[in-house]
Amino acid sequence: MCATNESGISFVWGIMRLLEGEGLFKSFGGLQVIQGISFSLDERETLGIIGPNGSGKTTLFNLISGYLKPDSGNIIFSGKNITGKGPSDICKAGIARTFQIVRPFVQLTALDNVAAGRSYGREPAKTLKEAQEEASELLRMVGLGNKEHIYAGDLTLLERKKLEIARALATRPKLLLLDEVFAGLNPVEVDEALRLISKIKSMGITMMVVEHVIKVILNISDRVVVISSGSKIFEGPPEDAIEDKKVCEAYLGEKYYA
Amino acid sequence: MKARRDIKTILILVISIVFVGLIPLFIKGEYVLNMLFLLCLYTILSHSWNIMGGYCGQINLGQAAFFGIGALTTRYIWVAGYPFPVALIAGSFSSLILACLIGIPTLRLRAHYFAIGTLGVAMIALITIQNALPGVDFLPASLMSDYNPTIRFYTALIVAALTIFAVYCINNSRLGLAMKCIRDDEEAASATGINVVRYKIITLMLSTFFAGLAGGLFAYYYVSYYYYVPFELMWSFDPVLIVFIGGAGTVVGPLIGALCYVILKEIFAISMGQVNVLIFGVVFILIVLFLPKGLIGIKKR
Repeated sequence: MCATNESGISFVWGIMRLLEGEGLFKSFGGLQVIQGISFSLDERETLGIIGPNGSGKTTLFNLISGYLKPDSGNIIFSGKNITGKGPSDICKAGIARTFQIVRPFVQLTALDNVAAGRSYGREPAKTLKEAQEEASELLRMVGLGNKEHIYAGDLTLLERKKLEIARALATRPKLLLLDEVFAGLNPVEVDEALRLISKIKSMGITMMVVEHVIKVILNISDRVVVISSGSKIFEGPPEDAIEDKKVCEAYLGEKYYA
Repeated sequence: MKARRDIKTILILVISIVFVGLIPLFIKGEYVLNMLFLLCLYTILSHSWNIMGGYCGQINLGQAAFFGIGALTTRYIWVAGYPFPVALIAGSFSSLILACLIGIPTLRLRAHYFAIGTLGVAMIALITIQNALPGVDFLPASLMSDYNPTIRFYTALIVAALTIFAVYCINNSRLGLAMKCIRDDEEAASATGINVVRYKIITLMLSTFFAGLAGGLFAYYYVSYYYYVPFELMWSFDPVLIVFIGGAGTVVGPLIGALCYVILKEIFAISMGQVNVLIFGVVFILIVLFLPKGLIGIKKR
């Protein structure tokens, strides 16, 4: 079922496996945050990660993007072991992320924010001018075409989120990690952001999405992993996840699920 | 829109450098020359601080150590008989090497801890020199015979012009962009593919190279001084003040700051003696409170 070609990239039924986490553990002091989670992600797939607050979703993201090192376990990306590498190396390898609480470069213009991604990500631009030209295109793509010369600190929340996505895309990722892009947006803005994510999906970029808004998860993910207290409790199609007994228990508690 | 602003900046810079260069032709006298030399010296030193503090957001209070090492090495090699440009470059590289040695451990410290760590380095350097070289550094008679402050001033002016040009290039480069990203948000910068520690070390090396140049010019201009003078902590704090007066993270700001500083210091130092330090303390607090972007920020408002 699983084969490995000569370049070391494993195939499952001819689909390329992009990311694989094997038995990941992470604790902070005495608190076990991630307890043996394994997962995998195929190319062009969108994986939704859901779970109650404090279940370890963001920690999982931080492990993949190199902000935290797992206590044990391996992370394989494109056939290479990237466990324990620093965030900038992981970005250069092709994994880009956004932050739960947006972190644009506030004293830089929108254009320079994205140009930074283009200058230092995967396949970086040779000159600043080249980076800025491509950054300009990306800003238009996410719908910030008219905000190029506005400082990121002066943008609205939705605009900052779009900017952060544009900056992540500018690093030419093979895999995009989106950490609660929709948190704090009003319903109209959620629809707008949803259109943007669908657009990115149609570009063929693999995504891993942490989200609380169930509507979003149902809409965009091909498969869902549910995490509770640091363990995986469900994996499968999103429609099944909301019907699953364990998932409902994790969210609502045993008594309410009767 | 951006291109036009760039041309304007270049024009302002070129005109002001040429203007400063023309002053000694019309107003003779050592006093004016001395002031103009200090203007150049402070421009170079504050720009060197600006690279690290203004662009990269790392508050380095060890600038005096790098300035001092530059002065010490340049003077030594120059007096040993090598041509001055060779000595100057050697002096700058000695600062750069010191930066590598100090930067690799201290740059793992963040924000205030980096400031305190580097201040410690400056103090260690000062105390070491005070004890190891307690005497006065006289220029030997052979070099005294052709001492000409005018030539020395123009050398400083050329170096200042080159420094400003270098900062202008950094400001408009990929490297400059990485520095600004690190200043704004280190974690986001690393998520964008920027190796934060590596770029901080590169920035520190660049910054200290220019601090070394300034130190070398100090050693070139002044005939005799106590060995510890270029290591004094004022060489750490003056550039901070200058950069904040003018505008941190800008090409023109430190130039304006240096001009204000040299004039103010002359007025206050003559009329009030040591109390001028107090005045500058108050000026610094007022600037940070009311003009966080410096004098250059007034225009942009």
